[in-house]
Amino acid sequence: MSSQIPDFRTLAFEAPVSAARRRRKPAPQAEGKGETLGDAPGFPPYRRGPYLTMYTTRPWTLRQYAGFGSVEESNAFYKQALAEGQRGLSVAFDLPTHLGYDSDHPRALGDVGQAGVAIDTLEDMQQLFADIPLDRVSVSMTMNGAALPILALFVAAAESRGLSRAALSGTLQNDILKEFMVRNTFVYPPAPSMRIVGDIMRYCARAMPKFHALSISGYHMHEAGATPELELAYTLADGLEYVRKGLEVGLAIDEFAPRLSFFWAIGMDFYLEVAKLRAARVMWAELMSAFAPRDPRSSMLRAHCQTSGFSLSAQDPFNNIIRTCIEAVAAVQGQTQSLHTNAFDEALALPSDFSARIARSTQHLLQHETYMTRVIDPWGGSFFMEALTDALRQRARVHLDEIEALGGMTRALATGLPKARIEEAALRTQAEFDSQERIKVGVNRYPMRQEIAFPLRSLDAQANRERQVQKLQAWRSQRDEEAVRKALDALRQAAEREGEALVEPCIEAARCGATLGEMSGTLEEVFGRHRPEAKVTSMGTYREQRASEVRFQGLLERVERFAQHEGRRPRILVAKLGLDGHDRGQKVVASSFADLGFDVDLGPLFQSAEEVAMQAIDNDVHVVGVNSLSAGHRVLVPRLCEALRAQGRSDIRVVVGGVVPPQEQELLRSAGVAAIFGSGTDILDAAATILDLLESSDEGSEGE
Amino acid sequence: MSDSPSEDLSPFPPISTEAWRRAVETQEGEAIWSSLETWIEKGIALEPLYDERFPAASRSADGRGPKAAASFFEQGEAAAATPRHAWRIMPECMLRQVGPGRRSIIAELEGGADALWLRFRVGPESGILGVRELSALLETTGDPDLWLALDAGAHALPFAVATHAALRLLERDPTQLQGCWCADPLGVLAESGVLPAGLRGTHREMAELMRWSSSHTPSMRTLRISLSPYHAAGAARVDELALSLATFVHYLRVAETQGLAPESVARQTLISLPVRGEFFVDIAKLRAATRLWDQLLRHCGVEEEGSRPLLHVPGSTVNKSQRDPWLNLLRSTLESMVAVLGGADMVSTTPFDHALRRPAPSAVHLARNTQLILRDECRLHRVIDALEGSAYVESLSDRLARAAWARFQEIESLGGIEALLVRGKVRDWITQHRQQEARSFARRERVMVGVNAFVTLEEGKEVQGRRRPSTRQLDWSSMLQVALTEAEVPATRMRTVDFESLPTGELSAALSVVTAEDDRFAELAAVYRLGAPTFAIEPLAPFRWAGEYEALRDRSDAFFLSAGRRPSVFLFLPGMRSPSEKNAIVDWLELAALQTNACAAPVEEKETLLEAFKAQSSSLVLWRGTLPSAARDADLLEALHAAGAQRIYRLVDEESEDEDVLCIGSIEALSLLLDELGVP
Repeated sequence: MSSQIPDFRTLAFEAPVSAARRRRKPAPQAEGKGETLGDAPGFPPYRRGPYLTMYTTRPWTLRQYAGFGSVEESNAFYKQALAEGQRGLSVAFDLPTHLGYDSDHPRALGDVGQAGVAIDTLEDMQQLFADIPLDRVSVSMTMNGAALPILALFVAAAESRGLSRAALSGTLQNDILKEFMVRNTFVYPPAPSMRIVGDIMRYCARAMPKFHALSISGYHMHEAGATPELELAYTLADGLEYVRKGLEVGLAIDEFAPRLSFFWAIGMDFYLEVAKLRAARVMWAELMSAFAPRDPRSSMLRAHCQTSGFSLSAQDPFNNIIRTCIEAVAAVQGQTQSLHTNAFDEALALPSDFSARIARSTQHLLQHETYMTRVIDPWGGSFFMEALTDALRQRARVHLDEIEALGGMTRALATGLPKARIEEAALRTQAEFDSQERIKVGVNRYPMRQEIAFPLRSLDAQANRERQVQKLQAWRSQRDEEAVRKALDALRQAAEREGEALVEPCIEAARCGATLGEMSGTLEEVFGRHRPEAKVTSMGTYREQRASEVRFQGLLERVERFAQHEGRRPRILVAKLGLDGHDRGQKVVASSFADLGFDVDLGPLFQSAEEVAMQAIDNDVHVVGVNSLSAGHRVLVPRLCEALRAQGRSDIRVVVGGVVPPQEQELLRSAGVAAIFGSGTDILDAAATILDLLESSDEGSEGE
Repeated sequence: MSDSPSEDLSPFPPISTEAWRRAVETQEGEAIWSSLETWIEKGIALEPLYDERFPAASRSADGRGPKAAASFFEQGEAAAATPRHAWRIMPECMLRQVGPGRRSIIAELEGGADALWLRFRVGPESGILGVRELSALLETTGDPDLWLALDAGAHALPFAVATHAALRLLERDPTQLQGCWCADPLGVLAESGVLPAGLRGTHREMAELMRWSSSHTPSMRTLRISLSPYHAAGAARVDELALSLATFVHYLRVAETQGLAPESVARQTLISLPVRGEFFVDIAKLRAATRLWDQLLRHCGVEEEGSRPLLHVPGSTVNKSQRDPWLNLLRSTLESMVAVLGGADMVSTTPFDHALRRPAPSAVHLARNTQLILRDECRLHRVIDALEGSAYVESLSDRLARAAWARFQEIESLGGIEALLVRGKVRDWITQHRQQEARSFARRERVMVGVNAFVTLEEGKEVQGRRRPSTRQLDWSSMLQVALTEAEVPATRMRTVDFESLPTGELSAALSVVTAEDDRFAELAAVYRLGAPTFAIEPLAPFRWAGEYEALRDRSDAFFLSAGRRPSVFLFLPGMRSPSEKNAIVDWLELAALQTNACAAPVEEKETLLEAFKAQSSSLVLWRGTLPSAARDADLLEALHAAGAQRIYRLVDEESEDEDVLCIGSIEALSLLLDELGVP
């Protein structure tokens, strides 16, 4: 028998060809000089990356978004980050600052210094950047509603240190359209808000050449539940709207378009996220060609990315290190220009030094240990990735055309369509998680069996607020009141005249000592405050997904029995307290409870505890469900319980859902909260628990 | 047909590579190209840009990529019908005792693993002795879908027979058992240096096991070609690939002498090829590997797709650190992504504390979760070979495959893998590459975060636990030798099996008889191997990149614990203006956890300098900067000596022979400084 095994010493290697590949055109040789590329990095439509050499000559910028209770703490954190190799700063402000309230405003109660740093005065801004060379370190500020006073305070603080405003580099988010769509930190109604955006664009284009007046953000759409194609379509539609605004305020396209930048969320759908970044660049280049820019940078989409907060879990939090790493890889392979990686404990608290270091190291590691910076657009040519990029682009294009057909995003927003589409997607996602069609490891499958202990950053909210209020009062008592009044009058007069520039008078007011709340309040007197309409949308989406489940049918029947017994359906007010504008959870809960047969009242955003109590009593609900994604519940939920008790309605049960760290649960329970639902709770479980509560209190009252 | 361009036609003009190159040169200068090239290993380098040499996606011949892309947007049933099953999540379980072993198996299975790599320790300290213990362990693995890599090192045959007996004891059907017996004589030899049954004997056992398994446990594979010993010792990628081919051919030949055809051997083979997280480079390695094996088998006349060996991808151990151990979780995440994108059938994620201790349950849990997240949250398995067509990855896969094929031919010309292993040639190759890598880390041309860059002094080993011994971990074969010598083998059974005189096929039959009488499989091996000479060579030593730096920090930390202070140096930087240059020096010294007191006064300000020197406690001076004149220099040196400086080194940028000179960034210099400071 002769051997089947040949003598390999003489057998050459042939590139193995599958039957499918054999039919393909033979590949040209690797040299490739002079051959045709579809497109190259640094050339439109920038599919392979906006810059010629991409990371090979300069890797992406590590830009971590951070801000803590006090300016001093934040300043120390920034300096530490810069010392550890971070190349730019990104400031997180607290909710009152976002909404134009000073820290001593009654509505600010409970939210001061919680989700970011509180800025009221010029002094705060000076201390925030103390010892940081603002002419060399670029500063990104996530600020939209109060963009004008924050920009004014920033410029005034820098100038008080002898720096010229032209030397300042950085980015103001200033993307108000997505606030009306999803993020909800707006102050004024849409029209004056857009006027402010245009005014800042014009100002920065002329006076602050290194500063980016606008960062067009899809991040918050993604976090509110948008699919990648919706995120793409609506963000680019917002971009188009701002371009039109820029032209409208008298700028030439090349005066401002080169400094527009975009901000994407990167979630767990790895391939789609890589494709999304590639598709976005192509789409923007296509859209911008209609404006015939001469400067190639005008059609070049540059992106900042942040890993998704929604993908993180409070349960088994170390999984978040893994998730963030995967998302960061997608952002880098999609060729982002800068990146924020979330800390693994962000679903529980603000990042600790420990978790912040791991988050930063994630990027260092990708830059130095993986060769990912050494080859441009590694996915380029992948049959699958190119097709995915193309498919995503075409699908996004359909949504984009829909918005354009409505007359652009400002008009489309008034119809409620974009918001409704995103909410519908969020509901579908919720239903998929609840039915385990979609999995979150450690949340709806594979539970953690062993806790791993780690330190959390703790904030003394009460002390922070008191200190901030004291500082604010001291500031007011020392300044020249007359100068402040005059400066604010000038600002008001400018606001009253349509088309009048606002930035300069605002900087003047800041320089004279006006506070953020005063500047914002002055404009509010002229423009009014936007009151969002609260309504339950997308009825039936949740039911569609889960109606076939026995449990769903069981709950429907239980609700019917309750209705027959009580003479009315169980009625729930799904409320938001304080300044927390994250309403994805609220909308999802309201809509799915309605699908289960509950009578649902949707509370408006930005309510005080007393206002929520009043609405609950007026509508005679059985339960108030507070949805909380900020730390405000610590103060506000006990006040809500107290307000109900004071009105003699302690029979109205209060339940809380959202992010409630374990150490706070006892506090809430002792204040009178009947149930707490952590993130990741199946809606059906929550509904069952609430029905249990109602039925038991029913029995209780019969016994009396 | 309409003449109007389709909607999809890009309005942007195509750009040639030449145009791109010209633009780069205009912007960066012509000298830029050399800095844009990246050396990976001998013969392999990366270019900054790969042009798309393959036809556009929509025109690809089989349309698989576009089909996969379209399926991303389908909902409901269409989306659920994935084109491919997910890979198997196969954690590694080291089994030493029955109780803890059962617990870790149960934890893995309840936690979501769908395959297990069970590594049995055999030896005097092992509590797993034979059929009774095995059945207690295997009782936990009743799920018929479970896939088991049963790894008993050199003892695959007696172990398999004992397992068979254990299954019968459990009244389970052994023919349903699916997985692999992991017979890998050359892998065992390379890793442990010892084959207890000798070279020929072990190979004969392997062939025997193949025959026995095909009739007794037909759903089990027999061979496992593990590249882990070579990888762990620091082998180059091309060498790993070549060694996989050489080992494969070696086993094919052994099997052929027993009348087994390549096709059936291929069906019985599992290949373990570890990867690091150097993303596309390692993905290309895996893609090259499957191409190479396909080619090898085709040359042997095996064409059928189903005869492909399975690919098992474990994580690396070379790139794990003891410092900043959480960062290993990132490295392992990248490795698992590489494994999946590279087409692994089974993946074993390295727990993040691997370099520190026996993995803690929390680390094992996170290792498993890494894959669960990639499968269930990212659904990475929805596409087969997602990178097919990528100009970069295709080109690199091809380069690696060609280089590996050439190396494989070299191995064949030199007499084959077994001869090279025995002659130490493989070790020489690996040592050469490993020294090259170690040097690039020592010079910080390559970076490990938290090890030779981005180090903070405070960052210790937060994860405490039993330290791994720095010596070889897998010493169980030598332990077995002790066990065998000490085992008191009952004389009654000694005559039952006479290894040399048994005809083929009788060995396992005889073993089964023994198994029925007694259940100690370690003893069993002793019985039938009685008289067979042990074969031993020098094993390959595992290696970690971080090792040298960690040794420095360990020294420094030990000093800190006993002396209550960090070893420190006085840094004199006359007239240095640039804080970044100073920081770079301080950062470098911190790699050895050295504390620095710096003074940047101009050289003229002798008094300021002397004051600063006296204000601190170190008598070791590091001097960086220009030397204005020899005379002033000498004067200053004298003054420093007079003030108590014991030793003064000048810091420079280039390596130098001068013994008063240290090169910034050099690891040897750090070690020397610790010596000077009396840090043991």
